[in-house]
Amino acid sequence: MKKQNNAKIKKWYMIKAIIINLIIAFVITLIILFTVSTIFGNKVSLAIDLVNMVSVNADTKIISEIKFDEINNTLETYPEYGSRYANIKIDSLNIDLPLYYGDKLSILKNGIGQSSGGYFPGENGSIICMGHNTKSFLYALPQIKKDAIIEINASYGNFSYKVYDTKIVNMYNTDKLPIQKNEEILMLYTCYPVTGIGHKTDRFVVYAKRVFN
Amino acid sequence: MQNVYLIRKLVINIFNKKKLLSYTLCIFLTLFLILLSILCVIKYTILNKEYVKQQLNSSNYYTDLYNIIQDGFNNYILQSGFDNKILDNIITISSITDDVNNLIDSLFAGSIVNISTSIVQDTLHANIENFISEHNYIVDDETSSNIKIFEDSIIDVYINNIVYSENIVNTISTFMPKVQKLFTIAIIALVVLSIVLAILVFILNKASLGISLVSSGLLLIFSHFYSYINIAINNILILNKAFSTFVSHILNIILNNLFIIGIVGLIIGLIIIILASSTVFKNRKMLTD
Repeated sequence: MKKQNNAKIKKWYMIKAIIINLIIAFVITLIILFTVSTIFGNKVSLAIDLVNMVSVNADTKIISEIKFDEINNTLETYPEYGSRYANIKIDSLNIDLPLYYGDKLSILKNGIGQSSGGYFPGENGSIICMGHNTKSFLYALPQIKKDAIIEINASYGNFSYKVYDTKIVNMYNTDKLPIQKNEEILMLYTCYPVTGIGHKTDRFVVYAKRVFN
Repeated sequence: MQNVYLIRKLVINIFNKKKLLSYTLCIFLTLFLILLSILCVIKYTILNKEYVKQQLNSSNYYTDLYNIIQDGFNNYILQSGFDNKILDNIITISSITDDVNNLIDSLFAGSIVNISTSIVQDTLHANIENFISEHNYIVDDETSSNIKIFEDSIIDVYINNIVYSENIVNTISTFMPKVQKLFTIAIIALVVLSIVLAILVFILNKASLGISLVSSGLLLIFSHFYSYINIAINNILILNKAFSTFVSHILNIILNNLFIIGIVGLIIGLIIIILASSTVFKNRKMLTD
């Protein structure tokens, strides 16, 4: 009976000591967490924000429907960078190509790219588009005639532009591609000359004003 | 009633001078153990040249980089008037592996990073010459200069994808040996301090050593989950896909290692607490006897 009691008391003391020690361990953990969050809290959240800035969430939904605010002539939702949002068509040259938002070389492999520095069709500003000079893209562009029509058929509307000028400019001469928001002007360019080999430093630029049917 | 008794006991326990000192030392020991774990994991992962090379290989860095460089070359091909044949054999996965490994060697040795592009340049030039003779192109001064710009652009794509930024890499390489030395000194100092503190804590109160290990284990496990909840580690995008995959891969390894250390610390701590607690009755019995 005494032995049984002793064993019970021993067990009870042991469990009690374990519980007390574990509680102390939790308290110490909380003290350290509280101290760290008080001293470094802001810095930790800043570091997390910085890391998350370079983390592209795979769950990000691609905007499939672009909304256009017709009163203010501006897009309410913009296409994702690198996404295809329209088609560009020049009937007189038999050109019909996909138009992507973005001007990275990897985008230009797939079609025509639109510079993110300009405006979108319908926004009443400069629209800067570019494409490679190969036969599958804008090889025929230098043959374009004045008054030719360039169409941009976007998911949120169709826009037509009439060519009023063409120029050959150096790739570094960005003054020839002015960004403004007074008049809707499409500037479409390709590397020039379209024949020959090596890196082309000139660009053939087509200027077209929006026309309303 | 039982709870009140337990809390009273706990308070008496805590305010016992000897124990209070051991718990205070416990906090420092916990901090040292966490710091030691983090420094050790970093030293044997990011700061270990051979390990970095091994992980670059296991995260398919070389193959991914090869594809990215080829893609970069193709971007220039489209407007150049050349065809893809001129890119034949100018780079291979093994040549990229060698160049990346040389870069890592220079980075860890603290020497200036120098990637030789002569083979790439010579092969590209020879391929272009063949293309010109095959197609009977007449190369005038302007075309010759355009070809030179094209060749330079291709070489730039190669260098930029291998080194990313020469300035940053060279800056890191000047600091790397110092950082490695600093880590070694810090680890030795922390090991010595932790052993001294552990002995002190053990002498004062055996269970306190277990408390420290449990606390540090809990904190490491907490930091593991906190990082995964708050940071989209697997979606990190830095420089390009190959580098991003490698960064995510290495961050996952670091966090998993810290998690494992945390679990081990927790288990060892629990065992020490149980063993130390089993002696409580003996001590009390001795006192009552």
